[in-house]
Amino acid sequence: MESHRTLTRPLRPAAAAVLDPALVSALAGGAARAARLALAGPAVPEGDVPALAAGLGRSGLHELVEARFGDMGAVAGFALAVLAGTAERAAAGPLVWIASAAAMRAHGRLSARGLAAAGGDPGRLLSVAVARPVDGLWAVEEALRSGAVAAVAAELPEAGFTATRRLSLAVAAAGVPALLLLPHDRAGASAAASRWRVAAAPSAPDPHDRLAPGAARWRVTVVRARAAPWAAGRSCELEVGDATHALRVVDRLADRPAAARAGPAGRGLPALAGGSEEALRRRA
Amino acid sequence: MAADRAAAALGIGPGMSLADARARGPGLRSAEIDRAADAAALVALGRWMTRWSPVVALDGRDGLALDITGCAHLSGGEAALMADVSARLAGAGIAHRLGLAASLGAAWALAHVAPGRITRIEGGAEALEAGLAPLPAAGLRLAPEALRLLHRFGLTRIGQVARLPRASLARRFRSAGGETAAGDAAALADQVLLRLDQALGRLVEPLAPLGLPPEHAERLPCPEPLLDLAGIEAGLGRLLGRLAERLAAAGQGARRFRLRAYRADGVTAAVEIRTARPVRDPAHVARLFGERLAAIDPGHGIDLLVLEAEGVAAMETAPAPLGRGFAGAAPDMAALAALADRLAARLGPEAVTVTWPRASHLPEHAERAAPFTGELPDWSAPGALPPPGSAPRPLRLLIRPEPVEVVAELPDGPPARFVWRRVARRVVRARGPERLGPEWWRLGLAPRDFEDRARDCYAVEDSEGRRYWLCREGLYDDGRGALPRWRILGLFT
Repeated sequence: MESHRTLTRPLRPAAAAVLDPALVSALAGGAARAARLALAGPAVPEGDVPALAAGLGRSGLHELVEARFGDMGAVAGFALAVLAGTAERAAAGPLVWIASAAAMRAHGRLSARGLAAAGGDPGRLLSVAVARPVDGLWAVEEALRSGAVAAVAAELPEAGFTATRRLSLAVAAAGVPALLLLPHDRAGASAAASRWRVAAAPSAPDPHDRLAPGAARWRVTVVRARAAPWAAGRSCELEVGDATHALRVVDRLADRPAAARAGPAGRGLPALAGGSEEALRRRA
Repeated sequence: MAADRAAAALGIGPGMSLADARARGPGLRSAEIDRAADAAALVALGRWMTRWSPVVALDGRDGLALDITGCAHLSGGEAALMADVSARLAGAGIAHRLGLAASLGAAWALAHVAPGRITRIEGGAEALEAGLAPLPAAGLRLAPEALRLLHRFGLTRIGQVARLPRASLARRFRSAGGETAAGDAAALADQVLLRLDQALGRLVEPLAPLGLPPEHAERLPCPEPLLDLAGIEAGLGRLLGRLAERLAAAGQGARRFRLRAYRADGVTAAVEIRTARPVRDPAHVARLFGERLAAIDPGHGIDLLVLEAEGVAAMETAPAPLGRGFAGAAPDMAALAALADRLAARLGPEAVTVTWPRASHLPEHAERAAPFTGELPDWSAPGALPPPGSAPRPLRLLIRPEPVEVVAELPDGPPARFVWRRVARRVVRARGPERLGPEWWRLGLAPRDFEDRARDCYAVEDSEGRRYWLCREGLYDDGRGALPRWRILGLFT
């Protein structure tokens, strides 16, 4: 593993200065248990999946996996939504967005206007194109160690256990969140703090235009979370508030399938929605 | 025809027919001349010769010209330089003739027609005149026609030509122009005089070097040839230290560094790195070179390392921030540039980009990705982003818009279902149309197919909640060619 030889490098003083001294000594000494505790992040009350989701952009290394082929647009949108909540950090450095060539071909590149619409600042975006997955992992680690970035997101075709372990340590040392955006066939062990499956969910109609889609929604499912073992398998549906770009919950009853929901008036579509839409369209 | 030494011993040489040559040496082996390979080899040799001088130019098909102004002292004087060149060429198995003089023309004459293999004229104009006088006139780099005329006048030595009054030379050429037109004869006479002036140093003759000389260069001759990566790394470290001192003294940094490794057998290798901002920190530059040094093949040993710096510019030196807690809201640009350098060194110069705004209302033209050069773009200027509340723009733009098959209830209505990447999708909601006209400044130009037609864009959501940006390019009655077509331009969150 030639490209991974930085593992044994001692912590940089600049990065160590902001960490708890006990943690630094534990990390430098290789005490895996202390490192795991540090990666767990702030405690979340049991049962509160949305709070867990909102915490994704704060710290730690997390995996966002597309629920099915074709959900990568939703995954990227969700990643930006959880990162947008940390605006005060964005002022101090750019978001580094790493994408493999295959991902760019399949899902396109981030557009500045779309990023601005999602609450990001296109002026604080550093895009990195990589040809090989191993380069992508290396780039994530370099970005974390530079101490100059606010957050790192990487669209990669794969990430093995060893690689995620390395990145977890780098994330802990840097105090910067990192998100790995992985394709739907992601499986296997990982050292990341949590893994989520993200799917697009049908949106409510726009309040000003019944035929138009409203705010984007995602159905996110916790596959596993180190800090919250209770959360495994639970899911919730989230959307972003138009003005604040903050995540909010669509449905408080987390564990029920989306189809069983009866949306409140004016938000979910009644059963006749298709017919009325057609009628509206004909009138137009 | 060219012949090697063994063949030349049999009397085989240029100008002979292959049949004659075969008759002289029955075991003769022959091959077609490969001019392209010869030229490439000459260029490679020329690059290797930059170890003595940065200005090396090709001369014809078989010569190289070096401008050694200010370089001879590095080898211990002109004579030592020639001895060094000759020894190294011989060591690499290259037959050669060397000439050294104050003008390019004189050096050419020495190298081509002088009696010795290694000849030199010391001194200025008088020495040149005296030194060149006994040499054959063929040393003047003349066209065969001019040389033939000179021989007819009995002018076989350079000295004879030089002593002739200039006007009389032109007159003789014209009078002998029985078979050549008067204009041609005058041109030939001018050429002779020009070459004579160049050889005698009366006219300056510029060289067209293979590469521009670097702005800064540091040399590290290795008495013991370097054979492995560790040696190269150590050498680079020393060179970087010296270069950094020079740059620091001038308050400058460089944006391109090139390490050249010269091997004893006439092969050079060069590794180049670029940085986003001018830098000079030896540790940083050494790290950028890092894995690339492995691309240098030491072969039988590297005996000279040269580090060149280009793109030299004044370097901003800011005091280091007290700590991240006090850094405030401004990004640490120096650390960011260092990160971009490391990424670009491994991933390629175009890999790290930032997005700049561009004045266009077409989303795919409204932004421009450019390599990061130490500056983050400012999108807060008015007009860079559409005002809040305007039509939505997709989060992701496809690198290439892809065609989709669309079924719509009305020809110019929103799509009802569509097929993209062989998957049929049912549209549940659609926002639009948003009409985007072509860029008006292109209206008078020849239309680029669909690019210059108005389009209607829809933000649609399918039954699974995925959102797409579809555009119908062209209008049904715009009178600009084919029927409209549908394409997908981007994806929403």
